Amino acid sequence: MSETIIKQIKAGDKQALKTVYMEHKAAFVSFMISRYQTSAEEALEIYQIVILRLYDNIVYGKLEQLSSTLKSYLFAIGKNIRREQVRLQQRKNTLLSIDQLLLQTIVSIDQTQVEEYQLQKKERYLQKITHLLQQMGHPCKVILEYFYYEKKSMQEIANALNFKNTNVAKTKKNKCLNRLRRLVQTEKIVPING
Amino acid sequence: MDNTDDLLLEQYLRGELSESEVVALQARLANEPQLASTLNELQNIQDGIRYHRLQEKLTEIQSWEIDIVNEAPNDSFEADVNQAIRFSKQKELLAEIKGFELAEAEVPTPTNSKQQLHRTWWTMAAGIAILLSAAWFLWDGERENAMTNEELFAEYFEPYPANMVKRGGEVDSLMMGYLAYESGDYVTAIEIFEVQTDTISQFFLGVSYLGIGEVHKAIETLKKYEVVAVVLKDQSLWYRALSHIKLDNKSEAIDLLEKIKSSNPSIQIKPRILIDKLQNQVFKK
Repeated sequence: MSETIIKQIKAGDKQALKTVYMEHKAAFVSFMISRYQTSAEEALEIYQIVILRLYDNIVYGKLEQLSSTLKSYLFAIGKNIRREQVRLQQRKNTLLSIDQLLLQTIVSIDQTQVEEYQLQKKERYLQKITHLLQQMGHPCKVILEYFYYEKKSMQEIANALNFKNTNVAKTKKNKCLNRLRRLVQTEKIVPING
Repeated sequence: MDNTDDLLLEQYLRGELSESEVVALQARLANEPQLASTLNELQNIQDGIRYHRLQEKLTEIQSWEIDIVNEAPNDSFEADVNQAIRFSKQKELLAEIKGFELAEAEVPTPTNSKQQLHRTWWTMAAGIAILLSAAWFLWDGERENAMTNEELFAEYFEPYPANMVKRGGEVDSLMMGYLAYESGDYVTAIEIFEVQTDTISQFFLGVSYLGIGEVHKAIETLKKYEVVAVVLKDQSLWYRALSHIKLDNKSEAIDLLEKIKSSNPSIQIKPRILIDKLQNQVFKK
């Protein structure tokens, strides 16, 4: 059952992810409120990040099957997020917003221990890349997402975008990447190390 | 760095290198600053692409919270009208909810937070109910003609939309009730609604009873609700009528549906169709 859903999500089936979201929402929110005394809104935000991480683990990561039930998996992610949140709350004396929780998905725990200013720098960098991708538009945005996020093969990219062959896909991908690199340099975006 | 290195770094980032290849690459990275710098650049770009995709996905996930619970039928003029009404009503609702939230934020009251919360929920629920009620009764999809009472009930029973009721503001266990109700977990919803003292919860309690097949309890609860109801009275009659259909009490069901028809001429479509079906015995017995 879980494997089927994972395959569907991996294949880009939006309804599959939504079904998972709807199915476990009430139980998850109840659990967070009773176990961690969060407000329902906080619990819902955590749940949305949980679903986002499930998606990320499947599409970007290599999650293909679960050793537990999907529900247990979601709850385990939720508990980890809450622990991260509490740990950082104690350090910063403020609760992480949903945007910061999103950033936490990309930036590893070790990196969150670097100076605040470096984190902000990373966030600004990521936001600028986001802006540049929007600016580049189709097909570059899609090609780069397929290649670097979904890790599709050149054959899959060629098929999905109706390119004549893999060489065309490869050439276009390289052109798009170089264009993005140039834009990054033009905009003087300085990436942080790590 | 040459093209071979570019390819190597991409394979590394995509997790396509073997363990020994990774070790070899790491050795080179330690001694070749230019290669390390290029990897860092590519890693950052990949992170940016990932961040962008996740931002888009999070927006999509958040949008599910404001989806309409029931999908409108799409193959008739009436369905189109209904869809248009629902769309416009949803926009009104969002504005209305924002209004409630602003009012709550701007006018602190001396009551304790729980009481204040309780009143907010009730006010929101009432406002939403009024806005939705007429449009809700307009809907009627394609139905099978030959049906048993049980099938007829199953075809017409759908929980009254509550997803808009639960949104906004600070939340207590009442929201948990709405969340459970919305996800079809009527047992949990009943546990929560049973201990609420506000009127509107009694309506959702009645519908929840019906959802788990506790028909007599549903009838009893909805009947009590109708005595004090300011809003959703016709909807309560509707769910009572469905309860009687489930119990094969055709005449009681028709009486209740007639009451809805006579109470408000603008909400006749669903009750009228159901009365026709009951009177003409077009369903299987």
